[in-house]
Amino acid sequence: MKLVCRCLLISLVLLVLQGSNAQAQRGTAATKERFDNLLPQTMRGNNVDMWIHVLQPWNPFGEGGETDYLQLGTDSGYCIFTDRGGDRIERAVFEAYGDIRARELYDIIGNETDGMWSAGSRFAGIGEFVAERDPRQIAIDLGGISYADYRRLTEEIGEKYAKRLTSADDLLADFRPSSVRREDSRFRQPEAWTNLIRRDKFDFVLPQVMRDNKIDMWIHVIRDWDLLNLGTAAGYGVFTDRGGDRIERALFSYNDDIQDAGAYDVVNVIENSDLRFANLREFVAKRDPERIGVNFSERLQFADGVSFEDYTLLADAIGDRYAKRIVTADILVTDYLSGKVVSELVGFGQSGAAMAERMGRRFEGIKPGVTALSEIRGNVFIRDRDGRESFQDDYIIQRGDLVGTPHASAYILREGETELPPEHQGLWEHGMAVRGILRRNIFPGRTAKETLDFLIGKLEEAGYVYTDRDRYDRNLDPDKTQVHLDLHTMGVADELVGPRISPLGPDWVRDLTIPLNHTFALEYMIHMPVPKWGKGKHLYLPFHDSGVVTERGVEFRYPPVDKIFVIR
Amino acid sequence: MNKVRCLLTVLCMLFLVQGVYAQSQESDAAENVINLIRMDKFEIILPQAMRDNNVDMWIYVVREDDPLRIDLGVDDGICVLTDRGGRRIERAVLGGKGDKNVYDIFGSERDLPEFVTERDPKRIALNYSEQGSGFNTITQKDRDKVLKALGDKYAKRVVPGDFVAVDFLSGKVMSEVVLFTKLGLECEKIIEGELDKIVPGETALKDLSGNVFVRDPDGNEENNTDYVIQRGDLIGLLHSAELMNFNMHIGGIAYVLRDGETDLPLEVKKIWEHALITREIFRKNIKAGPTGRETLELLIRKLEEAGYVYIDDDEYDRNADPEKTQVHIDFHTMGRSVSYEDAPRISPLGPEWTHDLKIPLYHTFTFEYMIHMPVPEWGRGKHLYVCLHDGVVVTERGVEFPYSPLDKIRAIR
Repeated sequence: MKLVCRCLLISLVLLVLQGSNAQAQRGTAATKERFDNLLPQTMRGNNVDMWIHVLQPWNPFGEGGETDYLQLGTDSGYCIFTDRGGDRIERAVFEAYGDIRARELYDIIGNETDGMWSAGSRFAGIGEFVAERDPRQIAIDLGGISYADYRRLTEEIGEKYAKRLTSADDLLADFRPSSVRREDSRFRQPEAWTNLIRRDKFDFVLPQVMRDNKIDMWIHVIRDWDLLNLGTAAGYGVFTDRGGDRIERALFSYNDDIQDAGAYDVVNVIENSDLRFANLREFVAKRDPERIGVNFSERLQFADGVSFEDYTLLADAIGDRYAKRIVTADILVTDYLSGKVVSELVGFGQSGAAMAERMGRRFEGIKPGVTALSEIRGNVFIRDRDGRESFQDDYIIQRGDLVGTPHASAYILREGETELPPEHQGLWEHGMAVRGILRRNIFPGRTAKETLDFLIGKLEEAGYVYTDRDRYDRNLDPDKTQVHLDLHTMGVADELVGPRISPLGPDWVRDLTIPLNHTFALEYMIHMPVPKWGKGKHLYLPFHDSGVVTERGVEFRYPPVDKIFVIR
Repeated sequence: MNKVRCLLTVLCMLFLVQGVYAQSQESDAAENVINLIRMDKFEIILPQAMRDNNVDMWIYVVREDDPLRIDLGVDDGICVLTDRGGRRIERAVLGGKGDKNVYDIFGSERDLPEFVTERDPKRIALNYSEQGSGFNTITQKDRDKVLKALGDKYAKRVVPGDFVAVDFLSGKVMSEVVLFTKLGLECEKIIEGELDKIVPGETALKDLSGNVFVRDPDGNEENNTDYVIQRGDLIGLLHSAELMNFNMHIGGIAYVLRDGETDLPLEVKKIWEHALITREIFRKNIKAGPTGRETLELLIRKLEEAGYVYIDDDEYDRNADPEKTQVHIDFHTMGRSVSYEDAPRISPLGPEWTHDLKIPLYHTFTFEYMIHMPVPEWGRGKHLYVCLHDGVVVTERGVEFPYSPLDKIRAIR
């Protein structure tokens, strides 16, 4: 009996621990198998010696959210497979921004970090890479690559190789995992979107953002993992401002599995997706829009959705007269995602509350002198008095350390200490004073840049020094505490959508106006000098709470971190 | 065998300890939310509530069972809130313990005369009411004590504090809206569970938890009685959920299919359509700013323009146009346990003075309305009845639902 119980218990624990890991390993093994055995014959069978497969520029759904139906072992970036002879195909992946799940499958991994911010250079250097391999036929998924990406790619590889591009349709049909279709990944939309949110955004946010952007028709062609979730896996939405307080909403779906048809005034199910834009000419002509926004963008990659093939078909379908009126809808898409209705606020508020409840628990198992940073779940770090950081590594946590995560920090009491030492208490008080300054001085209506400038002024009035990098600056007044800000959007695709009150990110995000109910991170870092420890020695404390900008300033939806946790 | 028993005992203990631990964490989390709400209300709502009521000092004597004890964060003592200019109200507790995150000053009750003189307020609100509101909470003894302590000069400046209390509670911060939603979703889950229990011909109304009712075609109501639910009944069920000083209740509707029916009958579908049409009328026409009375008048006009008859009582009016569907409204505040009656109300019900209160921004209330739809083929005066009861929020943009409102009449097989 004892033996049976023990075995059962051990098996249960092992099963739980191994379950998720094993699943990931099985996925990688299957991809390796396809790379090793299927890829060479597929490329050769299709008479292709280079295949460029362009994925999302980043994975907006976080770790574990697979974005690619082809299961190539990465959730963002682009892969280049080259047949250089022999049994094996050379495999390269670029601009994957930390989303590569199976690094061992690739021979070349390039430019992992900067891609998301530099839309113009996503394909920088690829021309040389391609020329070096001098392929005769380059397969590309014309139905998957965005219109803007296609233009950038062809520009980078030059006319010579652009002429060698060919549709990857047949190759994709041969290579995709047998049970998976592109539509499957499109069905997996962010769960936070409910029918209520969609309807309320149509009612409350859409009219304003279309008018703000002077767009009287918005055509949004759904892509894989579309952030907008129009309620169907494949198709497109056409939104027309026909006056009044409401925007006309039409959905053209390539299947009849529509989540909330009632949200639309017009619903068309298109039987033959090859003729998907066929009826649009009449539809558009009848409404005669002056400016037609379409979801392509050179600068905002999350708003860059329409594929090259779809754009071409769309422009052809609506005819020259209206094709000339097409403009990018990128800011409109940003504004639409940033403008929050109450059901969004509370939806994200509740998930945030659950996270806040878990915050302190991750420190509970720390044993000073025994526990390494790498043993604590999540993004965990320690900065020493000189600002050197140990990050999720083998560093063993010691008494006197201040262990940080973006959301909460914990101090490990030294022998004899019963509470936070005075300097740590002072550090916390600075954190609270800065929180008060930020909460009182952010309002809707100003741009992020104007707000940043305003906040810098307020911080300086209060005796702080603003720093545009998250590092202690030894050249500044050694008596003053330094503050770094990165008040980025939180909600859909976090840092990427909407105004960013921060020195970080591309310039255009600072020119966006802060909308009502803007949900964002009160992310700021305090670097407090401790002169008695010596010149340049300091303490560091980061904050990362979620706020909402209302007409009254910044409000919290759930309790923000309220202390430095103390570990005995 | 003993070893197995030991192992089981240890496992039971572990579960028990884990359970207690989880419970204590849950209660800590709830307390943190309540603390955040309190802090934010003092920061964001209080200055506006005092200035709107032209009050520069609000004295609130809190005793053990005071309904605002949790909201004010004081167990027992005198809470003195003073507008000394700037964006913040000075907060003091004299003679008691208060939330240290909220209050700036702690002193003795004996300090009151000096404290008030030093601040020299022009109008002092005290927690009593002249119109019988629920905020008439100060005892005669305490009131005499405070007035004596203030002395003639300041006692003359004392006015009822009920309007400040109403505005302080009605004005919602974002964390309250989130909690309002959380409780709404809890209610929704409970209601679904209760409706799941219905067995036609067996389950009595009183077997279900909540406020459960059925009206017959003549409008006779069975409410939480021995009445056994029958096929063809249209059942309403309201249920509440609570957390400390917060409370919320919403409603669900179910129709019990008759033998042979596979879907809602036409008349039930039709009454649901009326419910949705009128919901849109309400959503489009309620804004922050106007009073409850002004809003009610506007809604009556809009209902009539859309072909409905508004009724003051929740009873079918046999004298009204028999072709027209009748609608009754009671949009009362919702969210807090203490202020259902003493808050802005878009309704013919409740004290008159509440109808003259302005609808504040982020007002959380209920879309409680009743549809009485005549069914002429059943005979003169025969009708169907449904009651809707969803939580909503007034924002800068109008009325928004923080969670999905009732989206159908549920069919029970």
